[in-house]
Order: sequence, then C-alpha cells, then structure tokens
Amino acid sequence: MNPFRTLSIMRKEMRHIVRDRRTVILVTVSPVLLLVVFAYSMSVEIKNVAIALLDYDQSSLSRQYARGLASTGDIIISFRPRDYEEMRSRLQHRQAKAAVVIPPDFEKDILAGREASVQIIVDGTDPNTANHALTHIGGFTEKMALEIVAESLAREGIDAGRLAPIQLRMRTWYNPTLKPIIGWAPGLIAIVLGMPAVAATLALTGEKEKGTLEALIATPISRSELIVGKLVPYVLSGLVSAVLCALVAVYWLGTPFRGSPLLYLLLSADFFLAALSISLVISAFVRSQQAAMAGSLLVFLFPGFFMSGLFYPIASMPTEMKMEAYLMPTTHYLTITRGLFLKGLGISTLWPFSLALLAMGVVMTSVAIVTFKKKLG
Amino acid sequence: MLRRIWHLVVKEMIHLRRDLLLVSFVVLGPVSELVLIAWSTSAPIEHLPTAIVDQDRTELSRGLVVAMQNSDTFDAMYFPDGEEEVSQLLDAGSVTAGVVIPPGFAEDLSSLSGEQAEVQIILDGSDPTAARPAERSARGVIDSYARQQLGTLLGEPSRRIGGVISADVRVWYNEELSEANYTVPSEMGFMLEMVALMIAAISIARERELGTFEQLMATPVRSWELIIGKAIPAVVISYIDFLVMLGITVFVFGVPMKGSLPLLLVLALLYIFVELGWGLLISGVSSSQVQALLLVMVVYMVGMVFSGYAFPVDTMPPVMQTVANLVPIKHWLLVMRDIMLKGAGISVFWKELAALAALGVLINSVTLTILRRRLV
Repeated sequence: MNPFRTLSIMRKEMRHIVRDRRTVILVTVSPVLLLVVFAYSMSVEIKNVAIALLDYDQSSLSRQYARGLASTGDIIISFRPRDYEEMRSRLQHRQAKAAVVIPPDFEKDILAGREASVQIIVDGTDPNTANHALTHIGGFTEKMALEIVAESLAREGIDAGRLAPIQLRMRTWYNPTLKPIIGWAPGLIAIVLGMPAVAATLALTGEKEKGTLEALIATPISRSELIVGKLVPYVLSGLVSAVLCALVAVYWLGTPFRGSPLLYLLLSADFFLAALSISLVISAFVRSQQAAMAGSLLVFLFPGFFMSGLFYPIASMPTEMKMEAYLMPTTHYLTITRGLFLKGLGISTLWPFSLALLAMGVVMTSVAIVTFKKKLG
Repeated sequence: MLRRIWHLVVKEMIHLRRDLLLVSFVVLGPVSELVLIAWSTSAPIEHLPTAIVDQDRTELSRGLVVAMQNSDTFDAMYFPDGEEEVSQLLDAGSVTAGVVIPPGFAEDLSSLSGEQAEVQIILDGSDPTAARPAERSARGVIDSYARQQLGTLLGEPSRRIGGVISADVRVWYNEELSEANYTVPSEMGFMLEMVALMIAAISIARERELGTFEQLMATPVRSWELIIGKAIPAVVISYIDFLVMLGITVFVFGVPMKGSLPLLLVLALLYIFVELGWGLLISGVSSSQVQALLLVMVVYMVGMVFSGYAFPVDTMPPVMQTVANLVPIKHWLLVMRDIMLKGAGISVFWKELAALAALGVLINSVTLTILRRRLV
C-alpha cells in the first residue's frame, strides 16, 4: 500500500465532500437537527390525560374519590358521561383515553364494610397513555382504600399509622433528577450518527453510477489503497457530526459528559469505521444508489431505531433477535455513548464494545477490499 | 394524454426491471424488516437482568427475593454482597436494576412499632425504556408483598385491606393488552412510508443527475403528465408492499382485523398518495440522488417522532402538536388502528381522514407548483 496514492484518493474524496455544499450541510447538520427534535419530543411528560368518569353513586365518598383522582394533574376528568353508552362513544372516538365507573351503592358498601368495585377501562390501542392512566388510577384507588381502612382500624383502637410496612427507596443512577431528556440524548446520538454512514454509502456508489470509476481503474491504484482512501474522509466527516452532536447535547440539552472527550472521538471513529465498512460492502454488491440506499436503510436506520436497545431493551428480546441486535454497530455504539456521557466510564469497562466495533470494521473492510472488483462489470 | 402517461409508466417499469436488485430490496426489504422488528419488539418489556443484594438473609427477605424473581419483569442474574458490586454491574451494563435489602429488614417488618422496613431499588437511568417499566413493576411487587406481611401482622382486621375498593380493570379494543397489536401495525405503517417516500424521491432526482431530464423535457410530455407517470409505478410497488405486510401482520403476528377490510384497502391508497406527494416534492427540490435520499431520511425520522408511536402526541406542547398534525403518518396510524383494533368506521376517524385528505391536496399542489417552476 502506497501512502501517497492513498492520500491522493483521500484528497479527491475530500474535494467531493466539500464541493457539494448542500450535501455537506445535510450530512453534518441534519444529525444535530434530528437530535434536538428527537430529544425534545421524547422527553415530553405524559400529563393531563383525558378520562371519562361515570359516577352512578353521586355520594360524598364518590365525589371525594373523583376529586382526589384529578388532584395531581396526571389525569383530568374531561367528561362526565350520562350513561355507559356515552362513555363507550367517548372512548371509541379517542376523546377519553380511559374511563372510571363508580358503581351505585359505592358509599353504602364501603361504610357497611363490604367491598366496592370500581371499574377502570383503558383504551388498549394506545398502550403508552393507557399504562400511564392505569398506573395512576390504580395507585390512587389503592391509596384511598388504605386511608379508609386506616380510619376504620383507628376506630377499633388499632394503630394503623403504618399501613405501608415497607418503605421503598427508589434511586435512579446516572440520571438522578430523572430529567428524561438527559436519559435519551446519549442514545439518540448513537442513532442519528447512522446518517453520515448512510451518506457515505451513497457517495461511494455514486462513482459507479456516474461512470467515473472507470477513470480510477485506469490509474495504477490498488484496491486496498482505493478503499482505505475512500473510508478515511468519511470517517473524518462523521467525526465532525459526532463533535457537533456532543456539543449540542451538553450545551443545549444539558446532558452531562462524564467520560473522556478523547475516548469519545476515538470510539466514534471506531463506530464510523465499522458502519462505513459495512456500507462499503453494500455498495460493492449493488449497482445503483437507490439500491445502496435501500440496503443501508435496512442495515442502519430501522434496526438502529428499533433494535439497538434505545426504544426496546435488548434483554427483553427473543434470543435470535438478541444475536441480530449485537451484529449491528449501533447497538455497541449506544452502550458506548451512554457509558461516556452518563456513566463516566473508561476504556476498562467499554473495551468489549469497542473491540466488537473494531472487529466489525476490520472484517468488513477486508471483505470490501476482497470483493471490490477493479474492473468493469 | 393518457398514452403519453402510459409511455412514461412503461419507461419507468423498464428502469426498474433493469435494476432487479433494487426492486427486490424495495419489495422484500420492508417485508423482512417488518418481520425482524415486529418479532423483536412485540413482547412486553420483561426479563430485565437484575442484581439482588440480600443483606438480611432471613425468611422474610428471601420471600421478597422470590417474589421479585417470580415477577416476569426481573431476572435475578447476580447475587452480589454489597452495593459496590451492584454499581459495577450497572456500569458494565450487565444489569438494569439492583435490589438491596438492608440488614434488619425482617425485624422491622415483623413489628408494628419501631423502624419502618426499607428496600432499595437502584435503576439504570441511562436506559429509560427499561427503567420505567422496572420502576412500575418493582413498586407493584413490593406493595403486594408488604400487604401480605401486613395481613399476617394484623390478623383479622387486615382482611379488609385491599378488600375495600377493588379495581376491575378492562382493556378495550386490545383485551390482552398485547404489545404486538399496537406495535406491528405501526411498524407496518413506517415501512410503507419508507417505500413510498424513497421511490418517489429518487425518480426525478435520478433523471436530473444522469442528465436524461433534458431529453424528457424535449418531448411533448407536460409536467403534470410527467409527475403522474412517475407516480404510478411508485403507487403500484408501495401497494404491493402494503398488501404483503398486511397479510403478515394479520396471519403471522395475529393482529385482529375487526373492521372493514375494503375500507382499509381503499384508505391505504389515499395514504400512499399523500406520501408520494412528499416524496416527489423532495425529488423536485434536490439536485442529486444523495440529497434526495438524505432528505427522505430527515423527513422520515421526524415523522417517526411525531407519529405518536413511541411518544404520545396529545400531551406535547401546542407547537409540537401542530407539527405533528402535518405529519401524514400520525393520522394514518390512528386510522389503521381504529379499523384493525376497534373495528371502527369513518364516523370515528373522519377527522383524521379529513386531515389526510387535506394534507394530500396541500402537499401535492405545492409539489406541482414547485416542479412546474423547476421543470420549465
């Protein structure tokens, strides 16, 4: 491998990247833009969920229940339907996400020491909101039941001040204030940085499609020089995005950065190497940019989104899918960004993930060099 | 006129036939991806690796450990001696949650006076998707364990606890609260959006980049005829994709199809029409395929965020809600879920339908104007 020839390929690629200014901006700035949009919309708290309350009892106890239910602002009672039919239609039309039905004799039963049953109905087509409403309504119902028991026990002379015998101390490490944006941002960086990788695939295929590859083939350049020369500039341009994303995350979104910035650069380069070499292999096999795009979307964007552990924990996936998830660079890079930003980890803990990325990068680059045909198809 | 459009369609089909790899990517890619993603994300969030530190080592503390293990949410994988090790395990990402039962737990729990027994739950805040369900589940397990203990402590009067108000929970439209019923149709929507956007976005940008656009302009084809000619093959491919994915959603993943199938089939066509408008608009404003495809990714990912799939739109600030309403897939996912899961008709989702139609008209007329200007 001649370093000068590699360098001239790199210079040529750099010129390609810089010359097309709109594309440069798209590649470097759009990950940052996406990061901000994602971070803000993902950290919206679920509040004021509209529910319907059907109170058949209309007693002072049932009204007390209704008041308490809406007191925290998690849910609001937006509808007081006249009958079951109206309540059904509110749910059907998505105006209410959940409904609570207080049965007749609610107060009478409780005062007589019989069990009263409240019906909670949630809209199962929207599990995010439904779970929220369910947790809140269920929790409040239990709290009120305990209060009533405490009162009745006190009347019998039993001290019931300690009806919750176990105190639960919940601690969330790495993000103790539980600001959602902080928890999401590092993982999102790993996802949005898949974009520069896809862009590289396109640029690499472009040469084939435009027919400029023939000119390159006519030069004495070797396959490995060509591949390495093409890889490096895109790794570098990816790093520019990585730095921009980190700056925005820290100074705009307020995410802490507890690890070493140098390690971040190093491991990001590691990620880009892995991702880009996969792109290179894809572009070696396909003829058009469209096919390359479809291929890299299938390898980076969707699996990165759904299977990297950001939206859905890998631990809960079936075994076969876990393996698939670990085959993707984004999965490892996600662990790395979370580790660096929030956990303040060093290479002593992060080495398995870095090594996995490095192995992918080396193997795929070799595959790209071997499969790349320096001849016309 | 019809003949000119037809010739364009034939021309596009020839392009596609020559790039069979692309066609197979476009047709089979989303389908296989849907299977992969739906398969991996359709189970509830469970089996989170957990470290349990039992410093009390009594019958009562072991009872709690067993209760945690019996919940499907936590898989007790490590039993370290102290908090220090839990923190190492969390650092390495080996566990998502830690449970610490301090010494004296049983003693505090078995008397009504004195200290209140304490349990500590430690969650990995860098992984919000796992931390949230873990928190909810831990509260549930510990509350019910506490109540059980209270029962043995108080004897007779305690039977009333939990028997005062019972909550009878029903989940409508998705009785078993199956995650798959929600996730698979949404993911199908995303795949459809991707196909439609991509094919449309590339169509014009490719001609421009290859320089064949001038040749097209030299023909008597009018600009709107060109657009229709470009759109028809994209509609056909997207629709085939939709049919295959719908089949998989219903027959492989068992998502119910409670509503009217013909209605869904017709509305899918409307939705594809709206997305194509977006795609052609992107195609018209970008000067190369790379740009067009990158723009597709941006539009696509923004759409994903505002689709209501992972984050409820209803509770977003008004500005974000406005943006969300401009995203076709948000409306489409609601329509699809209403038909498939609720068995609802137009009277329920007419607003979403109207929004989709309005977006379709708006986007497509903007596209036409812009393309016309850029074409001549």
